[in-house]
Amino acid sequence: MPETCNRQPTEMEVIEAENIGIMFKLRHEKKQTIKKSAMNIFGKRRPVQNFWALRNVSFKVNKGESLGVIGKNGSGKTTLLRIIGGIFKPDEGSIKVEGKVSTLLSRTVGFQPELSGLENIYLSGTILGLKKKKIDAIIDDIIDFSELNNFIDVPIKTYSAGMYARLGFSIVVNIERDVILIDEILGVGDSRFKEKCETKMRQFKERGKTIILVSHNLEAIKKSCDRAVLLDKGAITAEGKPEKVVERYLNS
Amino acid sequence: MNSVSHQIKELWNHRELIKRLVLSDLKIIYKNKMLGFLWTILDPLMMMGVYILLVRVIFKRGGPQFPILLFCALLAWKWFTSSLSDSVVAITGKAKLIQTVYFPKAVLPLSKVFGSFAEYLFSLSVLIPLLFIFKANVTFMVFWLPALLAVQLLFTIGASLLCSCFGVYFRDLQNILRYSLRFWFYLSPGLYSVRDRIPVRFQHIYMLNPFAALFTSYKNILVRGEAPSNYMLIVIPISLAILILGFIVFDRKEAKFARDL
Repeated sequence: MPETCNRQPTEMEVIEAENIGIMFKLRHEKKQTIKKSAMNIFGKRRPVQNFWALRNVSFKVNKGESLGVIGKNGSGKTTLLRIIGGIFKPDEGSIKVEGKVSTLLSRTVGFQPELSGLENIYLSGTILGLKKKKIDAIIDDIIDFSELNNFIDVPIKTYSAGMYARLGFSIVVNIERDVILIDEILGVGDSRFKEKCETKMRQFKERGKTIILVSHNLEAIKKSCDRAVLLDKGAITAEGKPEKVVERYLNS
Repeated sequence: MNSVSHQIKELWNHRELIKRLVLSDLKIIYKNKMLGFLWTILDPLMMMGVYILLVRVIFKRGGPQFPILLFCALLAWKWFTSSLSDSVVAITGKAKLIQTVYFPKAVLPLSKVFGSFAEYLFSLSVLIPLLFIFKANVTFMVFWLPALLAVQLLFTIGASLLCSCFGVYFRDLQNILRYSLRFWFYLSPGLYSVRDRIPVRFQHIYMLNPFAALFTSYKNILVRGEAPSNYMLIVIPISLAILILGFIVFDRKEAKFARDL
């Protein structure tokens, strides 16, 4: 887990991003082969387009705050979460994140279809940075939360899509983290499980966890966020009370 | 040097993850196959069968101990080649995971190296009876084995780090690797021995290939009851150099994997 904290938190900020920018090189064919790069040496260079997925983005998130991120598809929302989660390193600017970050960028983390649910909990948990002892301590909570009961010992390739997602989600929400990044994930399982997840999110908030939520569900943003930012073409175009930012987004 | 110590520190901190990945891989391998665990042992035995047919039956070469000499080299070679060919796709195969959560990427090729190493250790259970069947001269020299394995481990880790890195940027590396490895095997004294086949004046150059010294040493200590090849003294610095190079290249590219995949 990224723990970039060379400096003491001056106030209560957990995340501080300053002018971050990240560039992707767009090639017509992404996959390089040796033949192609040999051709490149002999002058036949393919045009490479530079695309700034985010640029000049600055923001701060305080401890215990929940920040909503909205914007059209391709506006850079997921890229932003990935930068906060330490998955992408920005090309410009700097980002500081205090404490341990958990990422819910995907419903499942490193699942292996051939392995049982239980084995996958240990695999996934270890990838998320937990020691075996720690997983042992929360394993019952995870299994209970997932409601998989006897299915926990069966290879997960036999699971339904809902069961799969439930298991993945149960692991991530039961891991104690200071900062929680959520990307469009609350639509997991049936309405009852969804409610359970929302309750869990509320509990996180009550316990003073910092949450960053990316969603197209504007009602969810209004309901559960203290503040929101609007991303457009890789730049923050509005920031403030969720209601106002949502209104601005709908009018744009 | 900074990048080397950084990588090693990260790997040490994530040793539990490496262990977990190795165990998961092994479980999957053995769950899927009809013969399961037996396969680890059968695979090199079958390879040995192919070469016995080729060398002993067709070309009428090789002495009475040819099968066991070959087997010692084949086991070590299998560890090396499966580490490398798994490492080439180790990063690209986990693209989604790398874009989901942060973790040190070097655990991916490393878990492949250790997974293949575990298989090597399992296959020793066949090697030992074969040593007695083929009347190998088993002496105290066999205690050199851990030292030789350690040298090969360093070399394999370095080469695997490089392969996994290049695998991200050159998607056809896998095919090229398959044939280069085959060449490499024939250029190494697996099917023959150095003193029979390599003219003395070329030996110094020939032995720069780490597997020339490694194969000779494995055969020496396990079958011939002799000391490891003196050329191991060159292989150790070569292996260390490859290892350090592997860490440096990997460290330079690691942060970009998530974007370049």
